[in-house]
Amino acid sequence: MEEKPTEPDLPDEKEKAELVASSDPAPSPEVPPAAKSRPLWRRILVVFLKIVFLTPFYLVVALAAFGGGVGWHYFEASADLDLTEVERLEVGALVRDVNGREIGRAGTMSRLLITRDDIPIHFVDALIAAEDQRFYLHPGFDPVGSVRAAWVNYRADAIREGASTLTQQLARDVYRLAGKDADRKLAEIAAAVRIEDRYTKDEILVHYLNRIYFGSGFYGLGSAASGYFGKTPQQLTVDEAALLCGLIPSPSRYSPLVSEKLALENRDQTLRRMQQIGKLTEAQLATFLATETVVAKSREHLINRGQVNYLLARVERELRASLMKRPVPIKSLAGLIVETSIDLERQQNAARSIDRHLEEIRKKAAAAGTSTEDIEAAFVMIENRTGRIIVSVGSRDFHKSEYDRAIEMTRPPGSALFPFVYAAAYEKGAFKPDSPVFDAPFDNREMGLGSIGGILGEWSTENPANRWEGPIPASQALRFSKNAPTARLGLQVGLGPVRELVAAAGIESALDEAPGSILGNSEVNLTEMTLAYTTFPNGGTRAPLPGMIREVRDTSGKLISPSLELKPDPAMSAITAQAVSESLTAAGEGAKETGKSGTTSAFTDAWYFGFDDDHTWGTWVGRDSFTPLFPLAFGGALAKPLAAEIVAEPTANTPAVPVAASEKP
Amino acid sequence: MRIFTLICSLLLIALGAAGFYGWGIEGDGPQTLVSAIPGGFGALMLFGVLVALLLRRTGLQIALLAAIAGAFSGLGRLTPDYLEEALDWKNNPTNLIAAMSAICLLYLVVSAVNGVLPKRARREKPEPERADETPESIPC
Repeated sequence: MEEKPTEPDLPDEKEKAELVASSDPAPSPEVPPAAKSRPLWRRILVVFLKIVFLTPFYLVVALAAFGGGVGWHYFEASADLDLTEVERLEVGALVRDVNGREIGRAGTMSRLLITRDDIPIHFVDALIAAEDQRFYLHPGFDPVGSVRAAWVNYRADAIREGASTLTQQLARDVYRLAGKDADRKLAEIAAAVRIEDRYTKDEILVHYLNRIYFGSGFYGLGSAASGYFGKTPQQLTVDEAALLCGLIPSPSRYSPLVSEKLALENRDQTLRRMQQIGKLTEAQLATFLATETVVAKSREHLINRGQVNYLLARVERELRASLMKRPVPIKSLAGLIVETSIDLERQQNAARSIDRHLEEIRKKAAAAGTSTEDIEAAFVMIENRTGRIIVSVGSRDFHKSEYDRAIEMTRPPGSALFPFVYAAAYEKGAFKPDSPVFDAPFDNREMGLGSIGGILGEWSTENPANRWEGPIPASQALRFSKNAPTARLGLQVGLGPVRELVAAAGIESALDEAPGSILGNSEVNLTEMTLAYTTFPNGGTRAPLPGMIREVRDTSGKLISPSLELKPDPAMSAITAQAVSESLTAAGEGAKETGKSGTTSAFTDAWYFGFDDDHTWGTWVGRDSFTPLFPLAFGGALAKPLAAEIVAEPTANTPAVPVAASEKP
Repeated sequence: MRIFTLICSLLLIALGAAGFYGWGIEGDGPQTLVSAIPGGFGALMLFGVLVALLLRRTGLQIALLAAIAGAFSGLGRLTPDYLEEALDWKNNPTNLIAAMSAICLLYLVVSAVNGVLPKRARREKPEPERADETPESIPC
């Protein structure tokens, strides 16, 4: 069928001439129609041309129509979108610390909203040069820009340019269309077209710049200009504007607080693009390339700022989870007032202590000849009675790593698990604190520790100069963290009772069904371990599940408290809790110091857990790469001094967490 | 063939009218020009019929292009729903688009049959003397 349309309606001039020529001298009686009189080569040529040109033409029409149909589908689907969402930036919930001090707003990412007048022209130039050079020309999506980006990326064999327009990026952010599959991309384009239909280019620009993430916890241009440079957007210089625009493709990586080198490379690339599209002269480009863009970043400022961002993110997660559990879920955080148990000053002090101690630990690692990279620490402090979190530091520097090692990371606790093994033994009745246990060499393989032979307990006292003491009381074995007696006692008690007690104490990460779990080989997280340790000062019953939020009020002042966990069941008797506590108290150096350190066999993790009548705290030091810190890196030497500094310093100034209105009788 | 083209074009225009007026009335979708797309293809085919009154092949070729566009755009419109297993045959817009594709596909098939079979017949017996006349059955 495809070849038919090329048949001409009427013979053209050339064909007429041929007809005349062929019929003039001696017309045959079977003179065929004009086509039949054509020479063979010409007929072949016609067929060839039909195949070469016409078939692809029809195919292109068919493909274009199919593509149009797909676009039709997405355009219709986007008709349901609420376009007013574009201008609706959540005001967020006001978050306060335990002393009533404002931490910030959760849910808004602490934005400083701007208007069109706040955006300097050179910032618009930089943004358009970096992100969407045909912004003022396209209808929301840019086929020309997409083809150009595809070509540039193909030639560079890497992703150098994105094909998404500013409007598409805005649509992606507003309607949460993250992802790279074709379905999301087409939905994004359709939404972008609708947005362009509804808003002017300037309005789109303002909404975009109020929403976009600039890295290191800064959402929106106002917040980024203030956070990185201590300026308003109007005060930004060209090089600063170029640096900010260069962050947009991958803000978490390109933030100058994370990598100054990458940030400057992207700044320079943006400046060159500005010159390419005629927004800068050669001389201006040279000047700005030579300019040093200074980011405000004193260490203390960064750590304090990072902790605020961390707390707001964590409170928002907890708040949303809590509000969604309500009989009628609340989705908007607008106008809510959230009172937390966090002591902001103590939190920031803890983060600075961690930073200082890790610097010392890095020096020790360097002296021992091991890597100084990726050494991290985390700290959690919980109120014994309520389970409220007073301090929770998840990483050394939140701007560099948003990974929350206090709740997201699981690691083997090593000997920090011993108190629960002894508690299980006392609970079973087979042992008492003065029951003798045998401190003598013990084969690792009996505990499933290995393919390596050897004697368990060579480092068991967390003292390189260990000595075997023969029969000793169980309380003494716990006090000195003896591995071999603990392993023997654990095997006699059995893994089952230990697992049950640990679960009742609040450790949700199930211990592996292997003897090594008795020696702390199964992975747990810092917060759940700290919660489990509250069992001892609480007389055998752990604190309720940890949380930061004490109470929430809505816009009308009505109390919307998060659901409180009922008092948990006891994990052990008060007598057992008292006996273990006494062993741990004796282990401390000071009269009031009660706690237990933990070290894993390869010195990968160093722990310390301590408690007093009001609070329980836990500390972890280790590497993200799960490799050894350095030889003899015991929890007592690394984590314990860090915890002692954090706990000691601000205690006098910090009031106990007040009882929230919802908890009062 | 011109009559068949005329019938198809009128059917498509009727579908477009149903889409434009019917969806909105029944609340199945917004009353936008998008819902009148089948009518657009029908109008293009009708234009082809009118042209064919003067220039037979050109007119029918326009109708053929309209049919290709209608058939494949309809298929494109339904394919994402099909892939997401969200094709709802109780939904009026879905039925209208499927009907549009069906009409256009039918037109394509009939055009092919009308174009190929007479050509073979012509090869088997000699053509009449007039060289510039196209057989009635060849659409374009």
